Amino acid sequence: MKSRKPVIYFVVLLAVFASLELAVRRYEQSLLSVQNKVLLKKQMVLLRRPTHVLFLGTSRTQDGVEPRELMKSMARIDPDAEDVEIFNAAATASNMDSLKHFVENILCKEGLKLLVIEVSDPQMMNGPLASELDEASAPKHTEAHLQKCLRDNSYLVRHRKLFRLDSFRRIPTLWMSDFSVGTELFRRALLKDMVEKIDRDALAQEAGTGRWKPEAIPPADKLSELTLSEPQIKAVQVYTEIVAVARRSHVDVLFMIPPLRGEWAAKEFDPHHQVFYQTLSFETGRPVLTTAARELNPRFFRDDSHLNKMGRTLWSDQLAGAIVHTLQKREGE
Amino acid sequence: MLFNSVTFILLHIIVLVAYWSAPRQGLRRLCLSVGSLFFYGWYYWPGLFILAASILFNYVVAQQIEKRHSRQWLTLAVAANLLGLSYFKYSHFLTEVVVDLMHVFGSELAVPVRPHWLPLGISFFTFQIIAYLVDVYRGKVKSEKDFFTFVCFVSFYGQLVAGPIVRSHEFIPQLKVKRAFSWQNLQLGFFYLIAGLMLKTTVADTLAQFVDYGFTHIAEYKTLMAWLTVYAFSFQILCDFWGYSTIAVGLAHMYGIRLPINFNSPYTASSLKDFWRQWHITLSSWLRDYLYIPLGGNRNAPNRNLFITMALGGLWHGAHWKFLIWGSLHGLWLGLERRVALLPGLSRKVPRLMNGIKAVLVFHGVTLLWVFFRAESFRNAMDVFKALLLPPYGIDSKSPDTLVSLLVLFLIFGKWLSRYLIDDRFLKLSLKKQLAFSLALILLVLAYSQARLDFIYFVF
Repeated sequence: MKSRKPVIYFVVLLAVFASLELAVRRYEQSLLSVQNKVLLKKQMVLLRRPTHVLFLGTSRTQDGVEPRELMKSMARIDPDAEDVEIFNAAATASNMDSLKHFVENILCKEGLKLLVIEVSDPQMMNGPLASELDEASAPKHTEAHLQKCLRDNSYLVRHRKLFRLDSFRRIPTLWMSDFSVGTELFRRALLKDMVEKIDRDALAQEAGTGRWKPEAIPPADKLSELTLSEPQIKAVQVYTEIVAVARRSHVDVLFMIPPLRGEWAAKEFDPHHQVFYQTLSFETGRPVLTTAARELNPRFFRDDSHLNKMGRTLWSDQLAGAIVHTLQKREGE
Repeated sequence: MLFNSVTFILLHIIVLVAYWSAPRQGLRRLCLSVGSLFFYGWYYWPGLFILAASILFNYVVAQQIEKRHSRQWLTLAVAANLLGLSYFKYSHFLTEVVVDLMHVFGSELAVPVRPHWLPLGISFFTFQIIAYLVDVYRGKVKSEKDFFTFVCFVSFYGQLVAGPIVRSHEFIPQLKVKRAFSWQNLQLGFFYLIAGLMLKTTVADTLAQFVDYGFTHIAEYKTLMAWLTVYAFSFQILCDFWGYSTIAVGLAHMYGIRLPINFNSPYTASSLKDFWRQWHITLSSWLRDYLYIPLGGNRNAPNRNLFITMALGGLWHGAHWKFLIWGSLHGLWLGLERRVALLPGLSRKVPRLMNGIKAVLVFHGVTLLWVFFRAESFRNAMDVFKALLLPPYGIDSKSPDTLVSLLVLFLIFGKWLSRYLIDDRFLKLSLKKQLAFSLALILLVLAYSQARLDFIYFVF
C-alpha cells in the first residue's frame, strides 16, 4: 500500500494556512499595528492608561526625550504636575503623513492635554520606508494584476510583513503598553545605553551653562519675502491642520526642535529655516522651542542629531519648565 | 518569466495538471514542450525564434552525425552552435576589444552599434546541445528521433534558463517511461520549490540590497563593512544560483524527472579543486568532459589545460574582461594547488583541523575572486580590494547588525537545509518535521520575498 504521508502533508499545510488566514482576518486591526513602527506607537497610546502629554516626531525625539526624567523634573517645578503621565510616541522615520494620521487617531485618548511635536528636516522630508512599500515595487502587467488579486483576496498575503522578525519583536512591546514610557532606542545603542552611568555632577554643570534651556522662536510679525521650499509649505499646512484638529479636541500643541550639533545645527541658521519656523509659529499661533543657536557639548550626543543617555536626561530636565508652563496656562484658560 | 512570480506558479500548475491528465506519454511530452516554449516566449518572445532555430538545426544535425559518423558534421554543428553563442554573447565584447586595440595602434575604427540583446539561457542550452552532439558522435547516446522528446530535452522550462546543464543520457530516458502520478514526487518537488524560493527571495535578494549599495559606495566604507559586503556577495551568489537550481530540481520532481544537483556545500571545500566539484557541479563536469579532457587533460600539460579551461569557463559567465580575469585566476590557483601542498606533514597529523583551516582559506580566496565577478568594472574591483586590504583599517560607525545576523542565520540554517536538498532525504523525515520545515520556509518566503530581482545567472 502506498504511503498516505504526502497527502496528509498537503492537507495539513492547507489547513494551517486556512487557519492563519482566518486568524489574520479576525485580528487584522491589532496585527496591523505590529507591522509598522508608527502604527505600533499609536496602538500603544490607545492601549495604555490615561496619558496627558505625548511627544511626537522622528528618532531624534524618540532618542531625545526620557519621560521618566521629564516627569520627575516637572514634579520638582510644580507639585501639582506629579500625576502628569507622559509618553514618548516618536518613531524612527516618521513622516508628515504618518504624523497627521497619528494625531487624528489619538486625540480621543483619555486625559490628553498636550502634544509636543518635533519640527525637523527628516520629519518633513522622510518618505515611506522602503520596507513599507510592497505595492510600489510590484512589476507591471499580468504579474501586477495577479499580485493585486492575491492581496485583495488573501489577508495573509496582504499582511505578510506580520511574519517578519521585526513584527514578532513588537508584540511584547504592545503587551507592555501600560508600563512603557515609549522610549524605544535603536538596538545598537541599547546595550551601551544600559551600562552607561549618568554623571549627575556633569549634568548639573552642563545645565548651569544655560545653553540647553529651550527658547521660543518669535513668530514673524510680518511674513518674509523669502519663499519656502515645497516640503516646508506642505509641513506648515499639515502642522496648521494638526493644531486646528487638536484645538477642537481641547488639546494644546508645542513645537520643538531637538538639540543638534555640527552641520545639522548650522543648517538651522539658514535664513530659509528661520523663516520657516517663524512662519510656522505665525500660522499656528504656537511656539517653536529650540536650542539650535548655541554650541552644545558633544559629550551629550550619540551623533550630531541624536542625544545619548546623558543628553536625553539633560534635555528632558530642561524641557520640564516649558511643559509645566504650557499646562498651567492651559488650565488657567 | 521569473520563478519567483505569481504568474509562473499559476502557469506551472496549469502545465502540471495538463501533463498528468494526458493519457499517453507522447501527449505528455507534447504538453511539456508546448508549456516550456510558452514559458520561454513569455519572458521575451523574440528569443523563441532563436531557441526554435537551435532545436530544429540540432535535431536534424544530430541524426546526420549518427548516420554518417562524421567528424566534419560534428565540427560543423559545434561550430554553428558556438557561432550563435558568440554572435549574441561575445560580438559586442569582441568589437570593443578590436576598437580598443586599433585605438592603441593609433587608428580609429567606427563600428555601428548593434543593440545588445542576449537570448535567455543561451549559454546553458548551447552547452547542453554541444554535449549531446558530442555524445551522439562518440556513440554514447543515440540521436533522438522523437521531436517532442528533443524539444523537452533542450527547452524544459525548469532548467532552461539557468541550468543545471543536463546530459541527454540522464534526461531523455526519463521522458520515455510512462510513470503514474506520485504524491511523493509532488511533495518532494514542492519542498525543493519552497526551499529554492526561500534561498532566492529571502536570503539572496535581501543580501543583494547590501551588496548593491556596498559595491557602488565602497569609498564610504572602512575595512569591516567592505569585508561584510564581499562576504554578503559570496552568499548572495550562492543562494541565488543554488536557489534557482533547487527550484529547477523541484519542478522536475513534480513531473517525475530527476535532475542532477548543482551545489553541495561548496564553501566548506578544503581546496579549490573540491570547491569546483561542489559548485555548479554540472558546469564543472561539462568543462571537464568536453573541454579539459579533449585539450589533453592530465596527460599533456595539465596546468595549461586547466588555465585555458577555467579562463574560457570565466568567459562563459559573461562577455567582459572581469569574467576572463576571474576565470584565469581560478585556473592559476588550480594549477598552483596541483604543485604545492599546504603543510602536508601537519595535514597528515591533524587532518580535521587542517581541513577546517584550509576551508576557511579557500572560502576567503574564492570570496576575494568574486570581487572581479561582481564589480561594475576593473576600477571598481580595485577600489573594493583597496578597501578590503589596504590601510587605514577601521570599523565603520554604520551598524552592520542586520547583515551580520542574516549571514550568521544563513550559516546555521543553510548548512541544515543543504542536508535535505540531496535526493529524497526530505521524504525520510517524520511528517511532523516535514510540516514544520515546510511551514517555516513558506512563512519566510511570504514574509520576506522581495519579488523584484532577477536571478543573477539569467544573464549567462
